[in-house]
Amino acid sequence: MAAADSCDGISTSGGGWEKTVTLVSSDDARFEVREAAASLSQTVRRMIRAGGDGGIPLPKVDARTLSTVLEYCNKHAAVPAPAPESSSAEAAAVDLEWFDKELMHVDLATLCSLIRAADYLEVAGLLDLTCKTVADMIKSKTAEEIRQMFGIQNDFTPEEEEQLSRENAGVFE
Amino acid sequence: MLSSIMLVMPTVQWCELHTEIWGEIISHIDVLDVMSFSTTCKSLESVCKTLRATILKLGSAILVTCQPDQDGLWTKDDLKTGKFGLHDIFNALSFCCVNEGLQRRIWLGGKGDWLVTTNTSLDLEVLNPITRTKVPLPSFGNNLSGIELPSYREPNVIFPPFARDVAHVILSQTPSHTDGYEAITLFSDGLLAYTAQGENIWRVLKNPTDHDDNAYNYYPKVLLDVIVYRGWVIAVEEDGDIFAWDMSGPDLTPVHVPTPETTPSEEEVEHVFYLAISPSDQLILACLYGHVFGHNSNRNKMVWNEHDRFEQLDSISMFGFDEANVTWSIHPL
Repeated sequence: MAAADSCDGISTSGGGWEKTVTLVSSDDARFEVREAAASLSQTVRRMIRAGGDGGIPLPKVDARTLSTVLEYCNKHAAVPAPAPESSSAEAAAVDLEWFDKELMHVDLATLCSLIRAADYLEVAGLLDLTCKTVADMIKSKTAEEIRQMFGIQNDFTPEEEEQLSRENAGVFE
Repeated sequence: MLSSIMLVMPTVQWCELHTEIWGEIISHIDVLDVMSFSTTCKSLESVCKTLRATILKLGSAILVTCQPDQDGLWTKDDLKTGKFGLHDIFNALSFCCVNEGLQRRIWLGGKGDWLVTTNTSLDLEVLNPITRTKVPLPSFGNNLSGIELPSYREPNVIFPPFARDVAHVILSQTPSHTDGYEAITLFSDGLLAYTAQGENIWRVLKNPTDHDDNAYNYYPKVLLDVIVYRGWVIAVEEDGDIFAWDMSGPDLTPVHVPTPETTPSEEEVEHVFYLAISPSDQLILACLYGHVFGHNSNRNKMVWNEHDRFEQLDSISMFGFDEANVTWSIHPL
């Protein structure tokens, strides 16, 4: 079976046996990770199914970024699905929310790398989390504040900028 | 070999993110934030165009309400977060927006893209929700006293020893004007107060029916709408009488302006008046006829206006002011 071929090993966790896979970053760092966690990435899941030896290469993600992505995957894959509306479900949700918030305390370069990685690896939850984080940073900011924050160069000519300013200033007229 | 060392901030190629990713990001921001975002650089402007993100443009008719829904019911959470609704009338689109400048503040009027806002202490500000510029207005405490916000807005706020509700603040000139802002506060008891950029106080305009009762002035004639026209403050009261104050004159005593012959109305029909200035710079009086059935719950609104009181609007008459002959004539709708 293809899935079995791509499985690198077996580890113990909580008294049970879990399959692991090895992911290889663009700078050749190797990460052994539980298959359940790695499978939060649709890209990795497809590669596991496709099979292969020597670990799954991820040429678009460096080790530092992959480490953070896997931190997210390990945490989110570890959370069991408690009965809805139970106190444990609520506690788990609060814990995850806190974890996500802490994970997003990164600099802008790292955040940009995480967005690219989440997009490439197709980790939907992480992509949503990082996009929301960027959106929160944009909220209530002027165009100039957004430029300064993201290091974006203003390439509008003064005439174009004046035109934009006129259009926006008159929006409630 | 480099002759010097340059410290360069790490370049983050945000503009090179996929359009779909930007789409995901801007799906979490409101229409005003998209406006700011789309004007950062050409590539992000192009991204917004590709995504067909809604960008409000000049000429759009935009209605601002306290909430995106048409009921506009007051909620404490909206007041805390500075949430408000924007409605693009031409395109029948409604948006929910959030502005930090509106947190724990309500608005009492506005003009163009500026809103007059206040907190419970009546610290008035003029706010531009797009540029987020804030300009403070003079404090009422300098020369006026006993003023409170209407009870339906903040039930727990009381300003002893007596109370006077702020009904509306008319912003006749915004801070964008070359001469700066110009504002008039219309109180529910008929008091008018005027201020302009640089004046630092509110000047009280003498009410045409000033009446002194045990040191508390009250005015039997309630003014419904006010406008500034060619250096004059023009106000219409609820019976249709019109008064004008010459703001360049030595005192602020009003003169009575002739009143148009409004359509004789049936007794049960109520009417309210609006003042406006036409595109050809003519003073316009609009008279709205309607019915009240006593079911109106508008007092629950965070933004409430005396003019909202009709539950059924029957007809509208409009009159244009002829300055040369000092008369009014029917103005086409």
